[in-house]
Amino acid sequence: MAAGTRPNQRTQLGGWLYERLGLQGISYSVPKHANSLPYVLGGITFVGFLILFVTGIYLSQFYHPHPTDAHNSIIYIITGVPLGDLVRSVHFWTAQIVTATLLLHMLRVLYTGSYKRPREINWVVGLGLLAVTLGAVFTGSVLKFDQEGLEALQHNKEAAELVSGLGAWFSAEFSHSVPILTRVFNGHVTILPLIFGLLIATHIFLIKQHGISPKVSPDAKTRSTAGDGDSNFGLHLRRMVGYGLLLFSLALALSLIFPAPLGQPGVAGAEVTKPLWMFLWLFPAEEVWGVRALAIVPAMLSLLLASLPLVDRSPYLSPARRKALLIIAGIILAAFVSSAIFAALQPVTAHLD
Amino acid sequence: MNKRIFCSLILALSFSAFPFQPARAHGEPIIVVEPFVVPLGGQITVTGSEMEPGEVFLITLEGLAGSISLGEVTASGEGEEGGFVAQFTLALDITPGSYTLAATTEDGDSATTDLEITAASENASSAPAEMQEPTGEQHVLDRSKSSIEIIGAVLLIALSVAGGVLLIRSRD
Repeated sequence: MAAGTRPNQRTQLGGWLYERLGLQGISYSVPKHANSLPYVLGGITFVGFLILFVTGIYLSQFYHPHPTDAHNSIIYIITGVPLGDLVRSVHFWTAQIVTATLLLHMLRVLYTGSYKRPREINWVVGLGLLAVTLGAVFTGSVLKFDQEGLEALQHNKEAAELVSGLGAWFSAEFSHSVPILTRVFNGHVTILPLIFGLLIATHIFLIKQHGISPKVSPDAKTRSTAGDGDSNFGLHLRRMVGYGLLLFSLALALSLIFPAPLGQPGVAGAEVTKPLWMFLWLFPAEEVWGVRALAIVPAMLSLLLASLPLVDRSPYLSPARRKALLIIAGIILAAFVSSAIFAALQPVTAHLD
Repeated sequence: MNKRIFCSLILALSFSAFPFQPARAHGEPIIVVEPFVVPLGGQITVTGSEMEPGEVFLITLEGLAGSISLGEVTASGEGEEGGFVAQFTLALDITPGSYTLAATTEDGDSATTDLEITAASENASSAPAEMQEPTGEQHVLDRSKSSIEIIGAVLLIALSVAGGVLLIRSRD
Protein backbone atom coordinates (compact mmCIF):
# COMPACT_ATOMS: atom_id res chain seq x y z
CA MET A 1 0.00 0.00 0.00
CA ALA A 2 1.37 3.46 -0.90
CA ALA A 3 2.20 5.83 1.95
CA GLY A 4 -0.25 8.57 0.87
CA THR A 5 -3.26 6.37 1.39
CA ARG A 6 -2.52 5.06 4.90
CA PRO A 7 -5.22 5.91 7.39
CA ASN A 8 -2.73 7.04 10.05
CA GLN A 9 -1.60 9.90 7.82
CA ARG A 10 -5.05 11.25 7.31
CA THR A 11 -7.06 13.67 9.37
CA GLN A 12 -9.35 12.27 12.01
CA LEU A 13 -12.41 12.75 9.80
CA GLY A 14 -10.55 11.33 6.83
CA GLY A 15 -9.54 8.30 8.85
CA TRP A 16 -13.10 7.87 10.08
CA LEU A 17 -14.45 7.96 6.53
CA TYR A 18 -11.60 5.75 5.30
CA GLU A 19 -12.64 3.02 7.71
CA ARG A 20 -16.42 3.42 7.44
CA LEU A 21 -16.50 3.57 3.64
CA GLY A 22 -13.95 0.80 3.23
CA LEU A 23 -11.74 3.04 1.10
CA GLN A 24 -8.84 0.63 1.47
CA GLY A 25 -10.68 -1.26 -1.26
CA ILE A 26 -9.61 1.33 -3.84
CA SER A 27 -6.02 1.54 -2.61
CA TYR A 28 -4.86 -1.37 -4.72
CA SER A 29 -1.69 -1.28 -6.80
CA VAL A 30 -1.67 -0.19 -10.41
CA PRO A 31 1.25 0.17 -12.86
CA LYS A 32 2.77 3.66 -13.03
CA HIS A 33 1.87 4.13 -16.71
CA ALA A 34 -1.83 3.81 -15.75
CA ASN A 35 -1.63 7.39 -14.46
CA SER A 36 -0.45 8.91 -17.76
CA LEU A 37 -2.97 10.95 -19.78
CA PRO A 38 -3.58 8.35 -22.54
CA TYR A 39 -4.49 5.76 -19.89
CA VAL A 40 -6.75 8.17 -17.98
CA LEU A 41 -8.91 9.04 -21.03
CA GLY A 42 -11.55 6.46 -20.06
CA GLY A 43 -11.75 7.92 -16.56
CA ILE A 44 -12.02 11.47 -17.92
CA THR A 45 -14.93 10.30 -20.07
CA PHE A 46 -16.58 8.82 -16.98
CA VAL A 47 -16.29 12.12 -15.07
CA GLY A 48 -17.77 13.83 -18.16
CA PHE A 49 -20.75 11.49 -17.91
CA LEU A 50 -21.26 12.49 -14.27
CA ILE A 51 -21.40 16.15 -15.41
CA LEU A 52 -23.93 15.14 -18.07
CA PHE A 53 -26.11 13.38 -15.48
CA VAL A 54 -26.14 16.38 -13.13
CA THR A 55 -26.83 18.98 -15.85
CA GLY A 56 -29.35 16.63 -17.49
CA ILE A 57 -31.33 16.24 -14.26
CA TYR A 58 -31.56 20.05 -13.99
CA LEU A 59 -32.66 20.45 -17.62
CA SER A 60 -35.30 17.71 -17.33
CA GLN A 61 -37.13 19.81 -14.69
CA PHE A 62 -37.99 22.37 -17.40
CA TYR A 63 -38.03 20.40 -20.66
CA HIS A 64 -41.47 19.33 -21.90
CA PRO A 65 -41.11 16.13 -23.98
CA HIS A 66 -44.15 16.66 -26.18
CA PRO A 67 -44.08 17.72 -29.84
CA THR A 68 -46.41 20.64 -29.11
CA ASP A 69 -44.24 22.17 -26.41
CA ALA A 70 -40.75 20.69 -26.71
CA HIS A 71 -39.17 23.45 -28.77
CA ASN A 72 -40.80 26.23 -26.77
CA SER A 73 -39.69 24.64 -23.51
CA ILE A 74 -36.07 24.84 -24.75
CA ILE A 75 -36.55 28.51 -25.58
CA TYR A 76 -37.89 28.88 -22.03
CA ILE A 77 -34.83 27.06 -20.61
CA ILE A 78 -32.58 29.51 -22.51
CA THR A 79 -34.45 32.70 -21.72
CA GLY A 80 -36.43 32.09 -18.53
CA VAL A 81 -34.83 29.43 -16.33
CA PRO A 82 -32.17 30.57 -13.83
CA LEU A 83 -28.79 29.46 -15.25
CA GLY A 84 -30.78 27.52 -17.88
CA ASP A 85 -28.77 28.68 -20.90
CA LEU A 86 -25.47 28.03 -19.11
CA VAL A 87 -26.47 24.58 -17.83
CA ARG A 88 -27.83 23.56 -21.23
CA SER A 89 -24.64 24.79 -22.90
CA VAL A 90 -22.45 22.89 -20.41
CA HIS A 91 -24.56 19.78 -21.15
CA PHE A 92 -24.09 20.32 -24.89
CA TRP A 93 -20.32 21.01 -24.78
CA THR A 94 -19.63 18.21 -22.29
CA ALA A 95 -21.39 15.79 -24.66
CA GLN A 96 -19.11 16.96 -27.49
CA ILE A 97 -15.94 16.65 -25.38
CA VAL A 98 -16.97 13.28 -23.93
CA THR A 99 -17.53 11.88 -27.42
CA ALA A 100 -14.03 13.08 -28.38
CA THR A 101 -12.35 11.64 -25.25
CA LEU A 102 -14.21 8.37 -25.71
CA LEU A 103 -13.03 8.06 -29.31
CA LEU A 104 -9.46 8.93 -28.25
CA HIS A 105 -9.71 6.31 -25.48
CA MET A 106 -10.79 3.73 -28.06
CA LEU A 107 -7.90 4.69 -30.35
CA ARG A 108 -5.47 4.36 -27.42
CA VAL A 109 -6.80 0.88 -26.66
CA LEU A 110 -6.51 -0.01 -30.34
CA TYR A 111 -2.96 1.36 -30.65
CA THR A 112 -1.65 -0.31 -27.48
CA GLY A 113 -3.38 -3.64 -28.18
CA SER A 114 -5.32 -3.44 -24.92
CA TYR A 115 -8.18 -5.45 -26.47
CA LYS A 116 -6.11 -8.65 -26.44
CA ARG A 117 -6.53 -11.63 -24.14
CA PRO A 118 -7.84 -11.55 -21.45
CA ARG A 119 -9.54 -8.22 -22.25
CA GLU A 120 -11.57 -9.23 -25.35
CA ILE A 121 -14.96 -9.04 -23.63
CA ASN A 122 -14.13 -5.68 -22.08
CA TRP A 123 -13.30 -4.38 -25.57
CA VAL A 124 -16.80 -5.37 -26.71
CA VAL A 125 -18.32 -3.81 -23.57
CA GLY A 126 -16.39 -0.64 -24.44
CA LEU A 127 -17.89 -0.69 -27.94
CA GLY A 128 -21.30 -0.97 -26.29
CA LEU A 129 -20.49 2.14 -24.25
CA LEU A 130 -19.51 3.94 -27.46
CA ALA A 131 -22.85 2.95 -29.02
CA VAL A 132 -24.74 4.17 -25.93
CA THR A 133 -22.83 7.46 -26.00
CA LEU A 134 -23.62 8.05 -29.66
CA GLY A 135 -27.21 7.03 -28.98
CA ALA A 136 -27.41 9.58 -26.17
CA VAL A 137 -25.92 12.31 -28.40
CA PHE A 138 -28.38 11.41 -31.16
CA THR A 139 -31.47 11.35 -28.93
CA GLY A 140 -30.30 14.55 -27.24
CA SER A 141 -30.06 16.33 -30.58
CA VAL A 142 -33.59 15.17 -31.51
CA LEU A 143 -35.08 16.56 -28.27
CA LYS A 144 -34.48 20.16 -29.36
CA PHE A 145 -37.10 19.48 -32.01
CA ASP A 146 -35.58 22.13 -34.24
CA GLN A 147 -34.95 21.55 -37.94
CA GLU A 148 -31.75 19.57 -37.32
CA GLY A 149 -33.39 17.42 -34.64
CA LEU A 150 -36.43 16.65 -36.75
CA GLU A 151 -34.29 15.73 -39.76
CA ALA A 152 -32.19 13.43 -37.57
CA LEU A 153 -35.37 11.72 -36.36
CA GLN A 154 -36.71 11.33 -39.88
CA HIS A 155 -33.41 9.83 -41.11
CA ASN A 156 -33.44 7.44 -38.19
CA LYS A 157 -37.05 6.42 -38.81
CA GLU A 158 -36.25 5.59 -42.43
CA ALA A 159 -33.09 3.69 -41.49
CA ALA A 160 -35.05 1.82 -38.81
CA GLU A 161 -37.70 0.79 -41.34
CA LEU A 162 -34.97 -1.00 -43.31
CA VAL A 163 -34.28 -3.34 -40.42
CA SER A 164 -37.95 -4.16 -40.09
CA GLY A 165 -38.90 -5.40 -36.60
CA LEU A 166 -35.60 -4.29 -35.05
CA GLY A 167 -36.43 -0.69 -35.89
CA ALA A 168 -40.06 -0.83 -34.74
CA TRP A 169 -39.35 1.34 -31.68
CA PHE A 170 -38.60 4.29 -33.97
CA SER A 171 -41.87 4.05 -35.89
CA ALA A 172 -44.88 6.25 -35.09
CA GLU A 173 -47.17 3.20 -34.91
CA PHE A 174 -45.17 1.56 -32.09
CA SER A 175 -47.33 3.39 -29.55
CA HIS A 176 -50.62 5.13 -30.18
CA SER A 177 -50.62 6.74 -26.76
CA VAL A 178 -47.15 8.30 -26.64
CA PRO A 179 -45.59 10.41 -29.42
CA ILE A 180 -42.19 9.33 -30.72
CA LEU A 181 -40.54 12.48 -29.30
CA THR A 182 -41.68 11.53 -25.80
CA ARG A 183 -40.33 8.02 -26.31
CA VAL A 184 -37.00 9.42 -27.55
CA PHE A 185 -36.86 11.52 -24.36
CA ASN A 186 -37.66 8.40 -22.37
CA GLY A 187 -34.79 6.62 -24.13
CA HIS A 188 -32.45 9.55 -23.45
CA VAL A 189 -33.15 9.81 -19.71
CA THR A 190 -33.99 6.24 -18.66
CA ILE A 191 -33.17 3.47 -21.14
CA LEU A 192 -29.75 4.71 -22.27
CA PRO A 193 -28.55 5.74 -18.77
CA LEU A 194 -29.65 2.33 -17.45
CA ILE A 195 -27.73 0.50 -20.18
CA PHE A 196 -24.80 2.86 -19.58
CA GLY A 197 -24.86 2.03 -15.86
CA LEU A 198 -24.82 -1.71 -16.49
CA LEU A 199 -22.08 -1.49 -19.10
CA ILE A 200 -19.83 0.89 -17.14
CA ALA A 201 -20.16 -1.30 -14.03
CA THR A 202 -19.10 -4.32 -16.11
CA HIS A 203 -16.30 -2.29 -17.75
CA ILE A 204 -14.87 -1.14 -14.40
CA PHE A 205 -15.26 -4.62 -12.86
CA LEU A 206 -13.36 -6.21 -15.74
CA ILE A 207 -10.61 -3.56 -15.58
CA LYS A 208 -10.24 -4.37 -11.87
CA GLN A 209 -10.18 -8.10 -12.62
CA HIS A 210 -7.57 -7.96 -15.39
CA GLY A 211 -5.68 -4.80 -14.42
CA ILE A 212 -4.56 -2.06 -16.81
CA SER A 213 -2.91 -3.55 -19.91
CA PRO A 214 0.91 -3.78 -19.65
CA LYS A 215 3.10 -0.90 -20.78
CA VAL A 216 3.91 -1.17 -24.47
CA SER A 217 7.52 -2.13 -25.20
CA PRO A 218 9.05 -4.00 -28.15
CA ASP A 219 8.64 -7.40 -26.46
CA ALA A 220 5.67 -6.71 -24.17
CA LYS A 221 3.03 -9.43 -24.22
CA THR A 222 -0.57 -9.18 -23.16
CA ARG A 223 -1.37 -10.53 -19.68
CA SER A 224 -3.39 -9.80 -16.60
CA THR A 225 -1.76 -7.18 -14.37
CA ALA A 226 -4.26 -7.29 -11.53
CA GLY A 227 -2.43 -6.54 -8.27
CA ASP A 228 0.80 -5.58 -10.08
CA GLY A 229 2.40 -2.17 -10.13
CA ASP A 230 4.30 0.37 -8.07
CA SER A 231 1.61 3.07 -8.07
CA ASN A 232 -1.80 3.28 -6.48
CA PHE A 233 -5.34 3.43 -7.77
CA GLY A 234 -6.00 6.34 -5.41
CA LEU A 235 -3.54 8.40 -7.46
CA HIS A 236 -5.21 7.21 -10.67
CA LEU A 237 -8.53 8.36 -9.25
CA ARG A 238 -7.10 11.79 -8.34
CA ARG A 239 -5.72 12.21 -11.87
CA MET A 240 -9.08 11.16 -13.29
CA VAL A 241 -10.96 13.74 -11.21
CA GLY A 242 -8.25 16.35 -11.90
CA TYR A 243 -8.56 15.98 -15.67
CA GLY A 244 -12.33 15.79 -15.22
CA LEU A 245 -12.28 19.21 -13.54
CA LEU A 246 -10.28 20.56 -16.50
CA LEU A 247 -12.92 19.09 -18.81
CA PHE A 248 -15.64 20.84 -16.82
CA SER A 249 -13.81 24.18 -16.92
CA LEU A 250 -13.33 23.79 -20.69
CA ALA A 251 -17.05 23.04 -21.18
CA LEU A 252 -17.99 26.01 -18.98
CA ALA A 253 -15.64 28.37 -20.81
CA LEU A 254 -17.01 27.21 -24.19
CA SER A 255 -20.54 27.67 -22.86
CA LEU A 256 -19.85 31.28 -21.94
CA ILE A 257 -18.30 32.07 -25.33
CA PHE A 258 -20.38 29.83 -27.62
CA PRO A 259 -23.79 28.99 -26.09
CA ALA A 260 -25.34 25.73 -27.32
CA PRO A 261 -27.11 26.26 -30.65
CA LEU A 262 -30.86 26.03 -31.22
CA GLY A 263 -32.38 26.09 -34.69
CA GLN A 264 -35.83 27.17 -35.82
CA PRO A 265 -38.79 24.80 -35.18
CA GLY A 266 -38.58 21.76 -37.45
CA VAL A 267 -40.58 21.35 -40.63
CA ALA A 268 -41.29 17.72 -41.48
CA GLY A 269 -40.07 16.33 -44.80
CA ALA A 270 -37.40 18.98 -45.43
CA GLU A 271 -33.62 18.54 -45.47
CA VAL A 272 -31.75 21.79 -45.00
CA THR A 273 -29.29 20.99 -42.19
CA LYS A 274 -26.28 18.76 -41.56
CA PRO A 275 -25.85 16.38 -38.64
CA LEU A 276 -23.49 16.90 -35.68
CA TRP A 277 -19.77 16.24 -36.33
CA MET A 278 -19.81 12.70 -34.89
CA PHE A 279 -22.39 11.64 -37.50
CA LEU A 280 -21.09 13.79 -40.35
CA TRP A 281 -18.83 11.02 -41.72
CA LEU A 282 -21.98 9.08 -42.66
CA PHE A 283 -23.20 11.89 -44.91
CA PRO A 284 -21.22 10.92 -48.08
CA ALA A 285 -22.11 7.22 -47.59
CA GLU A 286 -25.79 8.24 -47.48
CA GLU A 287 -25.23 10.26 -50.65
CA VAL A 288 -24.00 7.14 -52.46
CA TRP A 289 -26.12 4.33 -50.95
CA GLY A 290 -29.14 6.24 -49.68
CA VAL A 291 -30.68 6.03 -46.22
CA ARG A 292 -29.79 2.32 -45.96
CA ALA A 293 -26.17 3.45 -45.40
CA LEU A 294 -27.24 4.78 -41.98
CA ALA A 295 -28.11 1.24 -40.87
CA ILE A 296 -25.56 -0.78 -42.79
CA VAL A 297 -22.32 1.22 -42.45
CA PRO A 298 -22.45 1.51 -38.62
CA ALA A 299 -23.45 -2.19 -38.38
CA MET A 300 -20.50 -3.22 -40.55
CA LEU A 301 -18.13 -0.99 -38.60
CA SER A 302 -19.37 -2.40 -35.29
CA LEU A 303 -18.87 -5.97 -36.51
CA LEU A 304 -15.40 -5.12 -37.76
CA LEU A 305 -14.40 -3.54 -34.44
CA ALA A 306 -15.99 -6.33 -32.38
CA SER A 307 -14.08 -8.93 -34.40
CA LEU A 308 -10.72 -7.24 -33.77
CA PRO A 309 -9.65 -9.50 -30.87
CA LEU A 310 -10.52 -12.53 -33.00
CA VAL A 311 -8.51 -11.31 -35.97
CA ASP A 312 -5.45 -10.05 -34.05
CA ARG A 313 -4.66 -12.89 -31.64
CA SER A 314 -0.88 -12.50 -31.36
CA PRO A 315 0.17 -11.78 -27.75
CA TYR A 316 2.40 -8.82 -28.68
CA LEU A 317 1.36 -5.29 -27.80
CA SER A 318 4.02 -3.31 -29.62
CA PRO A 319 2.65 -1.37 -32.62
CA ALA A 320 5.84 -2.36 -34.49
CA ARG A 321 4.71 -6.00 -34.33
CA ARG A 322 1.16 -5.12 -35.47
CA LYS A 323 1.99 -2.90 -38.41
CA ALA A 324 -0.44 -4.41 -40.94
CA LEU A 325 -3.45 -4.09 -38.63
CA LEU A 326 -2.59 -0.56 -37.54
CA ILE A 327 -2.03 0.56 -41.15
CA ILE A 328 -5.49 -0.79 -42.11
CA ALA A 329 -7.01 0.91 -39.03
CA GLY A 330 -5.20 4.13 -39.97
CA ILE A 331 -6.56 3.99 -43.52
CA ILE A 332 -10.12 3.43 -42.24
CA LEU A 333 -9.72 6.31 -39.77
CA ALA A 334 -8.33 8.58 -42.50
CA ALA A 335 -11.32 7.63 -44.69
CA PHE A 336 -13.73 8.65 -41.88
CA VAL A 337 -11.97 11.94 -41.26
CA SER A 338 -11.82 12.80 -44.99
CA SER A 339 -15.44 11.76 -45.37
CA ALA A 340 -16.43 14.11 -42.51
CA ILE A 341 -14.36 16.99 -43.94
CA PHE A 342 -15.85 16.39 -47.39
CA ALA A 343 -19.36 16.40 -45.90
CA ALA A 344 -18.65 19.59 -43.96
CA LEU A 345 -17.63 21.35 -47.17
CA GLN A 346 -20.49 20.01 -49.31
CA PRO A 347 -23.81 21.85 -49.67
CA VAL A 348 -26.82 20.17 -48.03
CA THR A 349 -28.60 17.69 -50.29
CA ALA A 350 -31.82 15.79 -49.70
CA HIS A 351 -31.60 12.05 -48.97
CA LEU A 352 -35.02 11.29 -47.56
CA ASP A 353 -37.54 9.59 -49.80
CA MET B 1 -8.53 -20.68 -37.76
CA ASN B 2 -8.19 -16.89 -37.86
CA LYS B 3 -8.72 -16.88 -41.60
CA ARG B 4 -11.87 -18.98 -41.25
CA ILE B 5 -13.33 -16.60 -38.69
CA PHE B 6 -12.33 -13.62 -40.79
CA CYS B 7 -13.92 -15.12 -43.95
CA SER B 8 -17.12 -15.89 -42.00
CA LEU B 9 -17.28 -12.30 -40.82
CA ILE B 10 -16.74 -10.95 -44.33
CA LEU B 11 -19.54 -13.26 -45.53
CA ALA B 12 -21.83 -12.07 -42.72
CA LEU B 13 -21.02 -8.46 -43.57
CA SER B 14 -21.80 -9.07 -47.23
CA PHE B 15 -25.20 -10.52 -46.35
CA SER B 16 -25.90 -7.58 -44.09
CA ALA B 17 -25.48 -5.26 -47.08
CA PHE B 18 -28.78 -6.56 -48.47
CA PRO B 19 -32.04 -5.00 -47.37
CA PHE B 20 -33.98 -7.06 -44.83
CA GLN B 21 -37.31 -6.53 -46.51
CA PRO B 22 -38.42 -7.65 -49.95
CA ALA B 23 -37.66 -4.92 -52.48
CA ARG B 24 -40.62 -3.13 -54.02
CA ALA B 25 -40.44 -1.38 -57.36
CA HIS B 26 -41.65 1.85 -55.78
CA GLY B 27 -40.26 1.43 -52.24
CA GLU B 28 -42.33 1.71 -49.06
CA PRO B 29 -45.16 4.26 -49.05
CA ILE B 30 -44.41 7.44 -47.10
CA ILE B 31 -46.74 10.14 -45.81
CA VAL B 32 -45.91 13.57 -44.43
CA VAL B 33 -48.43 15.73 -42.63
CA GLU B 34 -48.32 19.50 -42.39
CA PRO B 35 -48.62 20.94 -39.84
CA PHE B 36 -47.84 18.11 -37.44
CA VAL B 37 -49.38 20.06 -34.57
CA VAL B 38 -52.91 21.24 -35.38
CA PRO B 39 -55.88 22.56 -33.38
CA LEU B 40 -59.36 21.02 -33.63
CA GLY B 41 -61.18 22.48 -36.60
CA GLY B 42 -57.87 23.11 -38.35
CA GLN B 43 -56.88 21.70 -41.70
CA ILE B 44 -54.05 19.28 -42.42
CA THR B 45 -52.31 18.55 -45.70
CA VAL B 46 -51.25 14.92 -46.13
CA THR B 47 -48.67 14.24 -48.83
CA GLY B 48 -48.04 10.64 -49.91
CA SER B 49 -45.16 9.36 -52.03
CA GLU B 50 -43.50 6.08 -53.10
CA MET B 51 -46.93 4.68 -54.04
CA GLU B 52 -48.28 2.82 -57.02
CA PRO B 53 -50.56 4.98 -59.17
CA GLY B 54 -54.15 3.83 -58.69
CA GLU B 55 -53.58 2.51 -55.15
CA VAL B 56 -56.40 3.55 -52.81
CA PHE B 57 -55.40 4.61 -49.32
CA LEU B 58 -57.72 4.92 -46.34
CA ILE B 59 -56.55 7.83 -44.19
CA THR B 60 -57.20 7.30 -40.48
CA LEU B 61 -56.29 8.80 -37.15
CA GLU B 62 -55.21 6.14 -34.66
CA GLY B 63 -55.38 7.18 -31.05
CA LEU B 64 -56.25 5.98 -27.57
CA ALA B 65 -59.94 6.35 -28.36
CA GLY B 66 -59.63 4.12 -31.42
CA SER B 67 -59.57 4.76 -35.13
CA ILE B 68 -61.14 7.79 -36.82
CA SER B 69 -61.56 7.66 -40.58
CA LEU B 70 -60.76 10.88 -42.45
CA GLY B 71 -61.43 9.62 -45.97
CA GLU B 72 -60.01 7.78 -48.95
CA VAL B 73 -57.37 9.01 -51.37
CA THR B 74 -56.17 7.50 -54.64
CA ALA B 75 -52.51 7.78 -55.58
CA SER B 76 -51.87 9.26 -58.99
CA GLY B 77 -48.73 9.58 -61.10
CA GLU B 78 -46.87 8.25 -64.08
CA GLY B 79 -45.05 4.95 -64.46
CA GLU B 80 -44.24 3.33 -61.12
CA GLU B 81 -44.01 6.53 -59.07
CA GLY B 82 -47.24 7.68 -57.57
CA GLY B 83 -48.46 9.80 -54.70
CA PHE B 84 -51.13 12.16 -53.50
CA VAL B 85 -51.71 15.48 -51.79
CA ALA B 86 -54.94 15.60 -49.79
CA GLN B 87 -56.40 18.06 -47.32
CA PHE B 88 -58.63 17.19 -44.40
CA THR B 89 -60.42 19.37 -41.87
CA LEU B 90 -60.40 17.94 -38.36
CA ALA B 91 -63.84 17.61 -36.80
CA LEU B 92 -64.41 19.52 -33.57
CA ASP B 93 -65.54 16.38 -31.69
CA ILE B 94 -62.14 14.67 -31.86
CA THR B 95 -60.42 14.37 -28.47
CA PRO B 96 -57.23 16.45 -28.43
CA GLY B 97 -54.05 14.40 -27.97
CA SER B 98 -51.36 12.40 -29.74
CA TYR B 99 -52.41 10.49 -32.82
CA THR B 100 -50.83 8.36 -35.47
CA LEU B 101 -51.98 9.36 -38.93
CA ALA B 102 -52.12 6.22 -41.06
CA ALA B 103 -52.59 5.66 -44.78
CA THR B 104 -53.49 2.01 -45.42
CA THR B 105 -54.38 0.04 -48.56
CA GLU B 106 -56.60 -3.02 -48.74
CA ASP B 107 -53.45 -5.08 -49.35
CA GLY B 108 -52.07 -3.96 -46.02
CA ASP B 109 -49.48 -1.48 -47.33
CA SER B 110 -49.31 1.37 -44.88
CA ALA B 111 -47.49 4.52 -43.97
CA THR B 112 -47.74 6.39 -40.69
CA THR B 113 -46.66 9.63 -39.10
CA ASP B 114 -47.27 11.44 -35.81
CA LEU B 115 -49.96 14.10 -35.51
CA GLU B 116 -50.65 16.16 -32.41
CA ILE B 117 -54.16 17.60 -32.10
CA THR B 118 -54.62 20.45 -29.66
CA ALA B 119 -57.79 22.11 -28.38
CA ALA B 120 -59.63 24.38 -30.81
CA SER B 121 -58.07 27.77 -31.20
CA GLU B 122 -59.44 31.09 -32.34
CA ASN B 123 -56.82 31.07 -35.05
CA ALA B 124 -58.03 27.77 -36.47
CA SER B 125 -59.91 28.18 -39.70
CA SER B 126 -61.06 26.00 -42.52
CA ALA B 127 -58.45 27.57 -44.78
CA PRO B 128 -55.42 25.41 -45.66
CA ALA B 129 -52.74 25.48 -42.98
CA GLU B 130 -49.95 27.93 -43.64
CA MET B 131 -46.75 26.04 -44.42
CA GLN B 132 -43.70 27.10 -42.46
CA GLU B 133 -40.53 27.39 -44.54
CA PRO B 134 -37.83 24.97 -43.37
CA THR B 135 -34.58 26.65 -42.46
CA GLY B 136 -31.24 25.69 -40.96
CA GLU B 137 -30.90 29.17 -39.41
CA GLN B 138 -30.39 29.46 -35.65
CA HIS B 139 -32.84 31.13 -33.29
CA VAL B 140 -31.90 34.68 -32.42
CA LEU B 141 -32.54 34.78 -28.69
CA ASP B 142 -31.40 37.09 -25.94
CA ARG B 143 -28.57 35.08 -24.45
CA SER B 144 -26.87 37.81 -22.50
CA LYS B 145 -25.81 36.83 -19.00
CA SER B 146 -25.94 38.88 -15.82
CA SER B 147 -22.67 40.08 -14.30
CA ILE B 148 -23.20 37.74 -11.34
CA GLU B 149 -23.65 34.79 -13.69
CA ILE B 150 -20.47 35.66 -15.60
CA ILE B 151 -18.39 36.30 -12.47
CA GLY B 152 -19.70 33.07 -10.91
CA ALA B 153 -18.87 31.07 -14.03
CA VAL B 154 -15.38 32.58 -14.30
CA LEU B 155 -14.75 31.84 -10.60
CA LEU B 156 -15.94 28.27 -11.09
CA ILE B 157 -13.63 27.90 -14.10
CA ALA B 158 -10.67 29.24 -12.07
CA LEU B 159 -11.46 26.94 -9.13
CA SER B 160 -11.88 23.90 -11.41
CA VAL B 161 -8.59 24.61 -13.19
CA ALA B 162 -6.76 25.12 -9.88
CA GLY B 163 -8.28 21.99 -8.34
CA GLY B 164 -7.68 19.99 -11.51
CA VAL B 165 -4.01 21.00 -11.78
CA LEU B 166 -3.49 20.30 -8.07
CA LEU B 167 -4.94 16.79 -8.39
CA ILE B 168 -3.03 16.04 -11.60
CA ARG B 169 0.26 17.12 -10.03
CA SER B 170 -0.28 15.10 -6.85
CA ARG B 171 2.12 12.21 -6.21
CA ASP B 172 1.84 8.78 -4.57
